[in-house]
Amino acid sequence: MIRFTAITIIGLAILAVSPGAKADIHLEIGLAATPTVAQDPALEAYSEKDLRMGRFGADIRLEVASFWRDIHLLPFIGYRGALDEGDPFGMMETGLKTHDLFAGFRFRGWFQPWLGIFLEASGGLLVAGMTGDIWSADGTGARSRYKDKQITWSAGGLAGLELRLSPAMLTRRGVTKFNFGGEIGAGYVRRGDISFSPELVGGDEYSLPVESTADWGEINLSGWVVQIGLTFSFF
Amino acid sequence: MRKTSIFYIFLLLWSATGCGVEGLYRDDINVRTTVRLKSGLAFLEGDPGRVLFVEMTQDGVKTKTVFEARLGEEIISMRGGPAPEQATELFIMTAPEDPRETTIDEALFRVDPLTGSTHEFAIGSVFGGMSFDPTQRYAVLYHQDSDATSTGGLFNPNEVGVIDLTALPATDNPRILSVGIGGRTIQGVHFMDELVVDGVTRQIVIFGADGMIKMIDLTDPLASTVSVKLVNDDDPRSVVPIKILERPGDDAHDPLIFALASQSQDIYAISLVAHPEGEPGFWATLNQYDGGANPSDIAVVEDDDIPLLVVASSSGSLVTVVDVDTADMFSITLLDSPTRILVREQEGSDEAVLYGDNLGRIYFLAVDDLATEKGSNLDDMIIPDGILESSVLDADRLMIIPYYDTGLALLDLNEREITRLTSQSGYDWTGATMQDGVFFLGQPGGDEIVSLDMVTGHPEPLILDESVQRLDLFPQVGMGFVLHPTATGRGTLFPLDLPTRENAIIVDGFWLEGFLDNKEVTE
Repeated sequence: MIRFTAITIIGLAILAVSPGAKADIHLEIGLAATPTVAQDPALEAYSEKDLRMGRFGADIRLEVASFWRDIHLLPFIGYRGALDEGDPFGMMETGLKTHDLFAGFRFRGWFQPWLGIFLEASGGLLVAGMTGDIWSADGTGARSRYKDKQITWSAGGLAGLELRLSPAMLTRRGVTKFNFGGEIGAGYVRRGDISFSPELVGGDEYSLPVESTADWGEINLSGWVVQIGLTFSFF
Repeated sequence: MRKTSIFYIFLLLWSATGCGVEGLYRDDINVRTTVRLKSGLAFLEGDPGRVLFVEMTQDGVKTKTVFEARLGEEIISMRGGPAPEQATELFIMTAPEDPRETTIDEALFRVDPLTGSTHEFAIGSVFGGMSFDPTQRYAVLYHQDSDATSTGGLFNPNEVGVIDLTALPATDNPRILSVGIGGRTIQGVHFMDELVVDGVTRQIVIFGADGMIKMIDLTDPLASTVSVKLVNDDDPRSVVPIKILERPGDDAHDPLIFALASQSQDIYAISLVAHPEGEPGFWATLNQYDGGANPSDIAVVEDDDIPLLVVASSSGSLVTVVDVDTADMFSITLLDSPTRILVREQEGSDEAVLYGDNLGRIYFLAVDDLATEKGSNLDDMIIPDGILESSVLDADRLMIIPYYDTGLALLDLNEREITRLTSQSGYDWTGATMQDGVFFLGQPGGDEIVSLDMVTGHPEPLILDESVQRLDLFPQVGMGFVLHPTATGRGTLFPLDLPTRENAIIVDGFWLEGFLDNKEVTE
C-alpha cells in the first residue's frame, strides 16, 4: 500500500507542474498482462509458480471529459483471466481458473505529448473455478475429479505511466483517427475470501453416491499487481 | 523522471520473483500407522507427525486433527487402548526431534478423540513396547530390541514405566521402575488376574525375557519384584515365555503360574508363596513338568479339584496331561497333531477341545475323571474336507477353512455338527470378521465386501467403486467402513444390518479437510 500511495503522489505532482494537453473524446481498447502476486500462501495449492498469477485480458475505455489542468476521465470495463495449476501433496493435479469482471474510472494526464501518467480505481466480481484431478483413484466407477466454482467481490487501484505515438507526428503523416501506445503500472487488488467445498465428480451412472466431501478451507486472492499493456485509440 | 522509472523497474523485479512458503503442500501424505478405535479410525501421518481422527456416524464421517507434534517434537508411535478390541483412547509417544533439543522431553500423551481431552505423562525415554492390563487400570511401558535403533542405543533395558490409568499425570504417575533382568530385553508382558498370595491380594504383571521371567506386583507401592530363572545362564536355547496362565490358590494349593516357553520341552510351574524370611512382598518356587514333544499350547483344567495341565504338541501326534500336584503325566496318542486348546463347558462339565491347522479331525477331551480314565475320555470328530485352518469364533463354535475344498465351514461344538456356509472359491475367509451372526470379508486389493449370514448361508457381495485397503466394523454405530487407497482419504460407509450397494455411500477427502487454512510448514 505504501508503494501505491507513493506512485499516486509522484504522479499527481508531475501532473500538477506539467503543461496541459488537449482533451479529446474517443474510444480505447487496451490489451494487458496483469500478473498478480497473491498474499495468501494457500495459492500454492493451485500454483507451481509460487504465488504469481498470470492474468491476461482487455479493457474498453472511453474518454469522456477533461478537467483541472487537463486531467482526462475514462470510465472503463475490463476482463482478466488466469489459469494456474498445482499438485498439492503429490496427490492430484489442481487447476484454478479465475475471471475478473470489473468496471472503474481512469484518470490520465499527458505531461509530454507522448508520455503521461494514469491512476485508476475499479471494482467488480471475481469468478473462481477450481478442479482437482486425483491421480490415484482406481477402480470402475471411481470418482476422480473435484470441482467447485465460487464468486466473490474485488476492488483495486492501479497507477502508472502511459506512452503513445506523438499526435503531432501522426497528424503530419495524415493519421488523425488512430493512435497506439503502451502502459506500465502497478497497484493492488483486494478480493473477498473464497471457500472451496468441492463436489466430487467422475465415475458413471452406477457409481455410489458421495455423501460428504471435505471443506478445503479458505483462500484469498488479494495481492499486488503489475500491469503491462497496449492501447489502441480510435478517434 | 529517472527516479520514477527506477521505481517501476524495482516493482517489476519484485513481482517477478514471486513469494511463497517454501515446501508448503509439497510433501506426500504419508500414513505411518492406522488405529481402529471404537468410534472411528485414527491415522498417524507425516513427520514429525499429526493424528487425524475420522469419526464414524450413521450419516457420514467427522474429521478432525486430534494431536500434532509441537515445535521440536516428533511422534514416535501411536496405539489404541486401554481395551485392546474396544479401544476408546489414543496413546501417543513423543520424543525430541533432535538430540540437541533440550526443551522437549519424552512423553506419552493420552488422547480421547471424541472429547479432545489430552493428558501428558513424562516418561523419560522412548519405550518401544506398551501393554494394557485387562482391567484397564494399568499401562506398562517397556523397552524392546528395536529401541536400540530408535534411541541411538542409549536406553536401560531394565527400565519399565507403570501408568495408573485411573489417575492423572503426577510425579509418581507414571512410576519408572528398574526390573533387573540382567541385561536381557523384555520380550513380552503378561497380566495376571488378581491373585491372593499369603492373604495379600496382588495384581501381578509378568515380564518375559530370554531364560527368565520377572514378576511385579502393581498394587505394591514399593513394587516388590521377584525373578525366576527358567534356564541356566549358559543354556544356548532362547527360552522365552510365549503363553502364561494362572491358577488361583485354594486350601490345598498356593497360587500357581504356568509358562509355556519357546524352544523348551518343559512347562514351567511357579508357586507364589510368602517371603521365606518374613520380609514384605512375595516369593516364588519353580517346578518343571515334561511337556511332551514340542509343546505348542497349554490349558489348566480341574478334575475334581485336582489341577491338571493339558499340553498340546506340534509334533508326535499326542496330547499330554500332567497332574500338577504329583507331577505324574501321561500322553494320549492322536491321529494327528492339534496345536491349540480351547477349554469350554459341555453339558455341565469341562472339556478341552484340541484343534489346529492341517488336520483331519477335531479332538474332545473330557475333563471329568481324566486322571483315571485317561484315553477313554478322548473323542474325536472327522472333518469331511479336512482342516486347512481353524480358529475360535466363540466358546461354542470353530471356524474352519476346508483343506480339500474351498469356502468356509462352522463347527458347532455343542452339537458337534459341521455346517458348510459357502463353497465359493476365491475368498480367504481367515481375514473375515463376524458381527451379529454375519461374516464380513474385505480382501485388500479386492473390489467387494462379502457378507455371509451364518443362518441363511447366503453370501451377499457389496461391489465397491474402488479397491479395498482395509475393512473395519463399528458396531457401536452400526456401520462398516472400507478404506480405499485413494490418496485424498476416501472410504465407503455401509450399514452392518443392510450391507448392500443401495445403502452404501462414499465419504471423501479426510486429508483435504481445511488444508487451505493450514499454511504452516512443519519441517
